[in-house]
This record gives sequence, structure tokens and C-alpha cells, in this order.
Amino acid sequence: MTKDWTFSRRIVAGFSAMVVLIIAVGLISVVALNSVVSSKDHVINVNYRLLLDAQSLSTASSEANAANRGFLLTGEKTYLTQLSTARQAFQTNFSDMQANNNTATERRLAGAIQQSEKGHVQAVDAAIALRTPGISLAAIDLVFSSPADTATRNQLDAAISAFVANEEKLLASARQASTNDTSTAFTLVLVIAIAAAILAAIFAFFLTRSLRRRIATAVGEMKSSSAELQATANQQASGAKEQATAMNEISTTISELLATSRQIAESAQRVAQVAEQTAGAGRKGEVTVNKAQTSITDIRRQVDVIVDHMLELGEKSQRIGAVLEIVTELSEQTNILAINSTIEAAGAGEAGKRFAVVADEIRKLADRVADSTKEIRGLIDVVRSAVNTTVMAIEIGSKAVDAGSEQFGDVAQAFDEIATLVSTTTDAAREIELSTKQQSTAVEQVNVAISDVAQSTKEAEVSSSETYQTASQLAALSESLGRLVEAGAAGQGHG
Amino acid sequence: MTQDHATATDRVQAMRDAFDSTFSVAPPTAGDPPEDLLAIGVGQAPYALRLSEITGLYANKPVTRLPGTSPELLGIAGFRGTIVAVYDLRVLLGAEATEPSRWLVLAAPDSTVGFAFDRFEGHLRVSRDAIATHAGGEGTRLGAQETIQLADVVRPIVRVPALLEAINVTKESQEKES
Repeated sequence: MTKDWTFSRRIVAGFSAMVVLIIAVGLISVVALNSVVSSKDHVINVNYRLLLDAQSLSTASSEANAANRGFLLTGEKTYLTQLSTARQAFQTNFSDMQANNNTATERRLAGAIQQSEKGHVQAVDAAIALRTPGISLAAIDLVFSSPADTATRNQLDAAISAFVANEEKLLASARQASTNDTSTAFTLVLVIAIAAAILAAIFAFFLTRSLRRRIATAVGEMKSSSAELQATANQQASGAKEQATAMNEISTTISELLATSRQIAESAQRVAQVAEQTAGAGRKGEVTVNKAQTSITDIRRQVDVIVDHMLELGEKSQRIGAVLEIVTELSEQTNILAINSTIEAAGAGEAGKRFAVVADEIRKLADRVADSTKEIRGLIDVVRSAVNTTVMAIEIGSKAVDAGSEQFGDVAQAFDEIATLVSTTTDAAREIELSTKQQSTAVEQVNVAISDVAQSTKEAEVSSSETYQTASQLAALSESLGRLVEAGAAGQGHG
Repeated sequence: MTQDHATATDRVQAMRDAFDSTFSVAPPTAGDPPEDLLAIGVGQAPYALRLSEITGLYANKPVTRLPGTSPELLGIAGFRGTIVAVYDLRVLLGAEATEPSRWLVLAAPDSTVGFAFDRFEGHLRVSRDAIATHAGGEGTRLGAQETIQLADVVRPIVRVPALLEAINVTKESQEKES
């Protein structure tokens, strides 16, 4: 599970363990020191104090005895005062000492001191009572040598000495116990400290090994990452250069596009103007077409009239041809008659010569009539042919007029459609003009953006160079770190 | 149109002048008298007949066909109470007959024989010097040994007596055979 721990977590865990060890060592040291201090305090506060109190009792007893003896010798009241002060000091010390008695032996010895002190006080008070002014020296010697006083005093001293001896014994015992506690605490603290040092060393070893592996791995990854970063920075720099070139080309192209858009806008404007002019021309053309259609309708009517007249003319020419047939027949019969008359005149001899002249003239007239009828027939044929041709031409023209009328209708409809389309074209041209202007604005914005991008590309190129330098420095740093880690591992291996 | 009208007016005036001059000028007396010919068409060929060798010209005369007759005899027709035998001039002259003949002439001198032909093309009055004579030839039997040329058209002159003679010869031979 610890393999998944992070670097900082491992360090924190190691330092936490170290802190725990230090705290444990400290607590144990505190406990041991406290024990030692308590032992020493007990020795000082109890045993030494009781010893001092016992010695103070001895001192106070000696001071009281000296005051007693001084009074007895001099009879001066001052000694009585000293005696009283000494007794108060004795009582005070005794009370303190009795308060600090812990053992039954001490309380028993203290009771002996108290009993001895009471007996001694009574003996002293008796002696002091004996000392009167003007008492003789002998009497004073007797008082001095009183067995009661000496005995009580020796008893008191013995009780105090016994108490002191007991206290000195207890003091020695407590000192030894304190020394033992101190040794135990020292040993414990030393053991804990050594154990903590060992644990710290173990933690440090494992932490160092783990961190070295992690750092080595990280350094390796950092090396490869630095190499990749260098390659990437190189590619990025070359890409940024190519991008900068492309941006320049794009900027040039966009400038051309901008010029083209403006030209398109101007062209669209001109187209709109032309479309408006075309719409006006279309309206005029529509009016003209309507007039032409009306004229064509009139022409159609006139053509019908002409066709009727031509058909009538054809019928008349046919009737003329029929009449001409009669004339031809008459001329033929006249000719026959003239020829037969000529024959008859020739048969009549000299008498028929004049009639022959008449018959000859009649024949000539008949020939001329026949020639004229032939000519008329030819003219009639020409007229009929012309009438037929004219009728056919008129029919064709009539059909052409009909087709023209229909075409004029189509033209009028086309003019309507043209007007609609021109209107649509005008709207579209205006929309194109507006769109192109918006496009020009957008292209200008794009041009500005492209300039910004070009600037950013240049900055990116510079940044890529800096990144490359940083990656190089990082690679060098990782090399150095790797060498350091390898050196540390080698040093540890050698150590 | 004005020009055409002027031309027609001129022609009318010329015709009037010619008509008037005919009766104001004296008839010519000196020289040979002219020859009157009848221009006809037989089949596709032009021919001519002497006016002096016929007694009349007729058109659209009904002809009644006779059974068992020779191919050149079309039939008979009536003229002022006289029965006339009508011969097909196309057969006699060796032309191809496609349509019924419309014209007919009666032969002189007794008007008992008629010759039918396709077209009557006019009356010709020419001088005798204009008639060319040819010796021999295929038309000798029918008398077509003279020709008259007017403009570019050359017309053989069919002799009616020769035709009558040929008919008689044929008739006699048929009678001998029968």
C-alpha cells in the first residue's frame, strides 16, 4: 500500500514517525526526569528537612541551655528572653518536623523528643526558679549540678540524636533510592533514544531508498520528458515559423480578398443601378409590346380582309377564265368560219376575191382574238398563280402573325417575368452589396485577427525558443540530478 | 403597269391601222398569187395542208364508227345531208393515236372523204417560192414531198389527192382480197 504513497506523503510519514519517536523519547525522558526530580525533592524536602529540623531542635535546645546557664550564672533577664525565644524556635521546628513525619519510627522518636523536652523544660524552670537575686555561688553550683537538669538534658539530646540518626539513615536510604531512580531513568532514556535512533535510521533508510527510486524514476521521466519537450519545442518553433509564413500569405490573400469584396460591392451597386435601368426599359418594352400586340391584332384583321379580297379576286379570275373560254371558242369558230369562207371564196373564182379579203380579215381578227385570249389566259394564269401565291404567303404571314402575336404574348409575359426577375435581381444585388460590405468589415476584422494571430505566432515562436532553452536547461538539470542520485546511491552502496 | 397599258394601246392602234389599211389599199395584181396553207398537228409532228385541196374545216364533229373497218377509217359523219367517210390522218401518216381527234377537214373536190387530226394551228399564207420540194422519200405515197419552213418549224405539206389515192389503193386491194 505504501508503494502508492506520494513523495510528500512519504516524507510526511517519515517525519511524522521521527516526531512520534522524539515525542516518545521526550515523554519517557520527562517521566524519568520527573521521577528523579520527585525522588530528589523527597530527599531534599523530607529527609533533609527533617534532618535540618532535628539539627535545629538540637541547636534550639543548646541555645536554650546556654540561656539557662547564662541566667543562672548572671541572673540577667535577658537570658530568660533568649531562653523563651529558643524554646519557641524549638516548638516551631518540632511542629514542622512532626508535620513531616511519615513513618511510625519518626513519630515515635518525635514523641520521645517531645517527652524529653517537656521534662527538660520542667527541670530548667525549676532551676530558674531557684535562681534568686543574691543567691550564692554555691547554690548556683548546686543548681548547675542538679541531676534532674542534666538527666533531662541528656535525655533530650539522646532523643534528638536518635531522631537525627534515624533521619540520616532515612536520608541515606532515600538518596540511594533516588540514585537508583536516576540510573533507571538514564538507562530507560538511553535505551529509548537508541531505539528511536535505530528506528529513525531504518525509516531514513527505507525513505531514502524509496525516495531515491522515485527520484531516479522521476529524473528518468524528466529526462525523457525534457527530450520530448525539446523535440516538441523544436517542432513547435518550426511550426510557428511555418504558421507565421502561412499567416503572412493569409494576410496577403485576405487583403486581396478585401479588395475583391470592395470591387464586388461596387459591381453589385452598379448591377443594382443597371437592374433599375433595365426595369425601366422593361416597363417601356412592355408598353411597346402591348402596342405592337394591338398593331398585330389590327394587322391580323387587315390580313383577313386581304385574304378575303384575294380569294374573291381568285374567284373573279376563274370567272374571267370561264368567259375567256367562251371567247376562245368564239374566236376558234370565227377562225373556222373565216377559213371556210376563204375556201368558199376561192371556189367562187373571180367573184369571190373581195369576199376572200373580208374572210381573210375575219380570220386575222380571229387569230388576233385567239392570240389575245392566249395572252389573257396567260395573264389570268399569272394572276391566279399570284393570287394563290399571295394567299399562301398571306396564310403563312397570317400564321406568322398569329405566331408573332403569341410570341408577343410570350414576350409580354417574358417582360413581366423580366420585370419580376429584375426586381429580384435588384433586391439580390442590394443584398449582395450589403452582404459584401458586411463581408468586407468581417474580412477587415479577420485581417486584424490574422495580424494578432501572426503576432501571437511570432510570440509563440519566441516562446518555443525559450521553451527549447528551458527544456535544454531542464535536461541538463535532470542529468545533474541523475548524476547526484547515482552518486548518492553509489555513496550509500560504498558506505 | 403604265407601260403595259401603253403597249396594249399601241397594239390596239396597230390592229386598227392594219384593219383599215386592208380596205384602203388595192389588192396586189402582179406576181404569183400566194399559197394558202392550213397548219395542223398530227400526233407530236407539225404538218400543213393546202387550202385549195380541202372544202371545209370543222371542229368537234361527231363521228360514228363502223364495225370491221380498216384502222385508218374512223367512221362516218354527216355534213349538210351528205355522208362523209372520216379517215384518221394519224394512222395514215404513221403517227401514234392517243386521244380522239378533234379537228376534221373535208377533201376536195367532192367532199365525200374527211381527214381527222389532233390540232389546228392556224392559217398560213406564203409565197410559192417558200415551198420546198423534195424528190423521193418515205412520204411520197402520201404526197408529203413538199415542206414549208416558218421560223424554226419545218412542216411537211400533206397532199390530199395523194391521200385519196392511197385510200383508193388500199380499198381496191381489200376488195381484191375479199
